[in-house]
Parts: sequence; C-alpha cells; structure tokens
Amino acid sequence: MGNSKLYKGSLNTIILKLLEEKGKMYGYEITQKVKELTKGELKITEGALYPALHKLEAEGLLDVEVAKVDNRLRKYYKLTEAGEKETVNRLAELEEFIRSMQNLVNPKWSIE
Amino acid sequence: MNLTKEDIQFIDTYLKNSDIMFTDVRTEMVDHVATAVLDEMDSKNLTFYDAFKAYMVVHKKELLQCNKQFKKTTDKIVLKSLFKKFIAPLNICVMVVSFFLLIQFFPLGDKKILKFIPFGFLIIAILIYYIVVLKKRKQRFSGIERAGCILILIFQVYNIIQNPFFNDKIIITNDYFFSIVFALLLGLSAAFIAVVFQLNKKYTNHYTIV
Repeated sequence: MGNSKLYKGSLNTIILKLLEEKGKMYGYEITQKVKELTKGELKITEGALYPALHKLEAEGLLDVEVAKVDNRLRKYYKLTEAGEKETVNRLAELEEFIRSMQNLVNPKWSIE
Repeated sequence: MNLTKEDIQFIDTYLKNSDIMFTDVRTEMVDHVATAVLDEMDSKNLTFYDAFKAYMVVHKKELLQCNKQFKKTTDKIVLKSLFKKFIAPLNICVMVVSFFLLIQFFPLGDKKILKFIPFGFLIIAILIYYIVVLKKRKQRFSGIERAGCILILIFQVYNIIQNPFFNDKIIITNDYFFSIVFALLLGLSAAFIAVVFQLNKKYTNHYTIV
C-alpha cells in the first residue's frame, strides 16, 4: 500500500486500541482485524507487528498469556493497567493529531 | 480444517533451519505461519505444502527481520528486570550492610584472600546460570541466553578492572574502594540470579505443553 508510511507512526496506538476493544488478541488476529477494518487499505506485516508488540510488552503496557490451540501454542496479548491508561493518552494524542492535520490540509472541513 | 502435528513440526523445523533459534520467538512465528497457511488452504483450496510454499515466498523476509528486532527488545527487558532487582529494597539493604560490615570488621590488611570474594560472587552466578538453567533445558530461550551474555560482559569488565589473580594494586590498597566493589558485585550477582530464576519460571509456565 502506498500510504502505509502514514499509518506507521500510529501502529502502536492501533494495537493498543484493538486490544482495548477485544480484551486479548494474538498476532495474526491483529493483522486480519486491521485489514478488515481498513477494507484492505492497511496491511500490517510481521516485520512491523511483532517488534511493536514486543516493544509494548517490554514497556510494561502489554501482558502475555500463552494457550494451547490445536497442535500449537498461541501467544495472546492483553493490556496491563498501565497499558489501559496509556491507550487513553495515545488515542487523545492521535485525535489531536488528526484534528491538526485536518486544519492544515482542509481548514473548512471538520470531523465534529 | 486443522493442521496435523507433523505439519506444525514441519513449520517449526523450517523456521529453526532459517535461524530462528529461540523457542519463545519461534513458537509465536509457528502459530502465525500455521494460521496464515490454514487461511490460504481454506480460501484457495490448496494442500498444506502448496499453501506453506506460497506463504513463505512472500513473507519469509519479514519473519527473519522480526527475529532480529526481537533480540534488541529482549536485551531491554532483561536489563530492566536486572535493574529492578538490583535496586530492590532488600538487595540495597544487603549491599549497605555488607559494605559497613566489611569496613568495620574486615579491613583488608594482609588478608589477601578477601580480594577473591567479589570474583567468587560472579563465578557463583555463572555456575548457577549453567547448572540450574542451561543443563536442564533442551530448548533455547531468548531472555535466558541474553541474560547470560550480560553476565559474561559484567564478568569481563570486572576482569579488566580488577582480576585478583593478576592485579594486586588497584583494589587491595583501598578498603573503601574494595568494600564498594564487594557490595556492588554481591548485589549484582544476587539480582542476576533472581532474574534468571524469574525468566526460567516465566518460560516454564509459558512454553510447557501439558
């Protein structure tokens, strides 16, 4: 996708938002959910998703749960308490960013 | 439709041969690839091998890139845990008490044997690392291996600064300097052992199939 670079800076916020809504998710599920929500516009690659998930885990924003599914182990990610607070902050930041961008590129148009 | 144990084993072996050595990283990759392959099989009516081949042609590079990134994150996690254990109240108390006891009751003087003790802490930490963790495991886990690298690095730095077998001059003449090094290495070794046990417990809980 040509505009994937525009989404790149928001990847962590997208992950946090999805986890806030769904409770717990595994890697592949996140990629598919994003693809579905953006109607195929945004495809998150493994090389971008997993480092982002591991970084959020290292920052203490995500917790991990491993479960056996079929013949393999599946790693689920869920928000920690700190992660829940951070999600609220990052979503507010993102909304502010979107508003500013709208004002910049199209001053007459508003989401409100 | 489900994948058989042999199919999962095939994916696992393929990733292992592609240099994704750590079990914790590979487990997640195996699940990702298996789920993606199942989707391909369902949507395009392919056999396992055809779906796997089609998936790998497009995504192998991404999977390997993910493996490299993981090492950096693991180092960060291990160092953070080590720092937390190091500054834990109990560990700080032990370090402070050992410092004052040493200053008060065990001035170095001629007791050259004392200078080997901090070296001994690190040796004990390394031995515990190898005996308790590595000898019991057939699998390789990223956190435990990276923690081992950090310990070896600390050990080498200490050897450069003060190796008790070769260097008589730096620490032995100064009681305060020796006591500080003694207390810090005691605290660091204790923190390291605690981190290794913590990681060992975490990996055992997460990656043992019952």
